[in-house]
Amino acid sequence: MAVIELVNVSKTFKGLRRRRIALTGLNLEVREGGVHGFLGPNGSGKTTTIRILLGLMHPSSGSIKVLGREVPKELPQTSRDIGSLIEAPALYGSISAAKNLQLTADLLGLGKRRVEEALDIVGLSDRAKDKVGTFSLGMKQRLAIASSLLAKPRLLVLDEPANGLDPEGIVEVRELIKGLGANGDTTVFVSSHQLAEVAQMCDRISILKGGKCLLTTDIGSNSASLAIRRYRIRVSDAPRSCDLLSNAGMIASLHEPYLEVEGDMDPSLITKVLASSGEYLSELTQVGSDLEALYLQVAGESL
Amino acid sequence: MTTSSTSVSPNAGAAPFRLILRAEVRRIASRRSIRLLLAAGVIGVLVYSFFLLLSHASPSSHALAIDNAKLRAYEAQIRAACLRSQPPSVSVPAGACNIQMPLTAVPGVKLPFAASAGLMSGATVIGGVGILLALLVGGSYMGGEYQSRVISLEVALEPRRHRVFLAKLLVLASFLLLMGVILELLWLGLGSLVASVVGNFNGFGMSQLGTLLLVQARIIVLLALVGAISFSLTAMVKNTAGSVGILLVYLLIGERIAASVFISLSAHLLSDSIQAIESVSGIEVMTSRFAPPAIAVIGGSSSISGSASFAQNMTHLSPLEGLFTVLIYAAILVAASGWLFQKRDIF
Ligand SMILES: Nc1ncnc2c1ncn2[C@@H]1O[C@H](COP(=O)(O)OP(=O)(O)OP(=O)(O)O)[C@@H](O)[C@H]1O
Ligand SMILES: [Mg+2]
Repeated sequence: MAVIELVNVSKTFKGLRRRRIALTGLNLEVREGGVHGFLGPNGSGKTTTIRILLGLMHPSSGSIKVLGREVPKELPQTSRDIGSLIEAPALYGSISAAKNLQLTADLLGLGKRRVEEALDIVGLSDRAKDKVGTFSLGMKQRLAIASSLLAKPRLLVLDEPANGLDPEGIVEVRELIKGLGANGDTTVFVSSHQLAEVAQMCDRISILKGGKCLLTTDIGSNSASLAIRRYRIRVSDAPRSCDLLSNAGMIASLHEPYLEVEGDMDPSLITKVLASSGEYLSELTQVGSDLEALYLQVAGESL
Repeated sequence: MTTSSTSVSPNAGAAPFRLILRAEVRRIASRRSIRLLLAAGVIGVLVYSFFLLLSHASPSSHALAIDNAKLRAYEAQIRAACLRSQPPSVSVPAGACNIQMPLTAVPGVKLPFAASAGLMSGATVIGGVGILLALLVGGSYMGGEYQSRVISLEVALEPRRHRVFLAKLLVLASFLLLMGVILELLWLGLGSLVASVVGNFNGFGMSQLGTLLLVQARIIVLLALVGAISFSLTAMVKNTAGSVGILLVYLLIGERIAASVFISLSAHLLSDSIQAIESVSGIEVMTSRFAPPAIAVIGGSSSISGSASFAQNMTHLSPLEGLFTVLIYAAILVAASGWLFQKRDIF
């Protein structure tokens, strides 16, 4: 079953002076289970799509289904199965973390126990009684994630959850999301700028640009394929080196005057193979992962 | 049995309205700005009562005799000065310079606090403060939801937005009714205390108490209506400062301008109605009526004689008429704002 189904969705903002087209005939399908990444450059319409999914914005045209229900008509029947975090955390600064969560929990009919559990999941138990106004951006972000988890949702929609987090926080959130996606009860739909993040936590990705979904693809559940790296090397005799590397079991291709090598090997292996046959590197650069190449090819611009 | 993909989660189904209301009650109670405003109201009543306590006194008969002697001396001084200033040619009628002065004219004399007048005027003063507070509470309640962006979280969990809007409105109105009751009851207690310490209850019987309670009850209802107006406007503007600013400017200036354009409005002004509600038996308001120029038809061609003018006359505005007018304003704004809330994008 598809947990999210967008067919030909458009959204035009009618301002006082001009119209701004945010989505133009967007088609998107998110399957149940796992983590689905939603990639796209700034202004490509990720947040707009998410707001429409949650019923916060009305689409100009198109049809939307979330968890099998039509949006916005049937959304009330399923809204409490959806956890969400949109762009920046929505919290009151003047009250404590636990109280903030309790206010959301009240709407869901959940008690103190679940609030404590949610705080524990994001590692904020020891700050539960502190005012949110005193939190760092990363802590607020984690608290907002906790809020989205309160109802143990079947669908978790996260808009740039790693926003403002330090590297440690990013790893934590990534592991959290991977864990949620892996346990099978929750489907995570996560938008991000961080290509590397997406590569490491998603099972599938969709690439959005200019309000259209350009591509949806599996990227392998254990993301082994994404550990594959691509190197560009320069040697004096490129064709011969290409043969040497191919014979050594690597995927090498000739792009005069460069040579490109792909694989999950250590770059020192390239040096070793070539040096043992008398070819010496004058340059070796990592040019990116598969996903990056794919993304650049599809979206045509860097993140 | 059902498969995992079709199984019904425990969360499925709509939240009962009761749950939303209860959540909303906790929400308003946890909002700091609203708690601060309520505290400001209570402190206001305390300070006002304390001020009255200091500025009145219930003098002993001895002190009163001294004060009266001072007054007599003061009056004699004035009479002498008055007689001296008359030209000698004119025969001054007897008693022309006998000026009666109130006791307060003597510097340093404090009068007793008379419950019969003081309690009512205090209730009105507190009503005025309450209106300002209701304006701010109504505005900051909704404005805060937009500012913190919590409103999107709420609507995501309860997509039937009219329920979110209605729950907030009901909870706000109840809160303001409660605030009104707290402030007016507090005043009743403290005002009576002031009267018993530095004043008297002369001429304050059951019927006066009844009138006072009635005015206080009207003021309390007014607070809820003013809050609803401010709340609705803020939901439209999505910003507290903006909407409170608009309301204040409208109440203080805009309304008079509007009334001069739409003449029929002039008997139904929000500011006049508020005053009428706070009064015992209503107020007189000036209403202008546009008088068109007389048109005379002379020999087939019409000519305009005279010019258009505004006929001014006074109209009595009773407290109930005032309440009705404010109710209409509130109903129109609530309806418009609720409709927009349902229809527009949240952000
Ligand atoms: N409320 C709004 N009013 C007018 N235009 C809007 C509104 N919200 C979004 N837009 C426009 O819609 C387009 C898509 O914006 P959106 O926020 O969905 O992009 P995004 O992919 O989330 O970008 P980012 O990665 O920067 O968050 C932009 O051109 C933006 O200016
Ligand atoms: Mg965005």
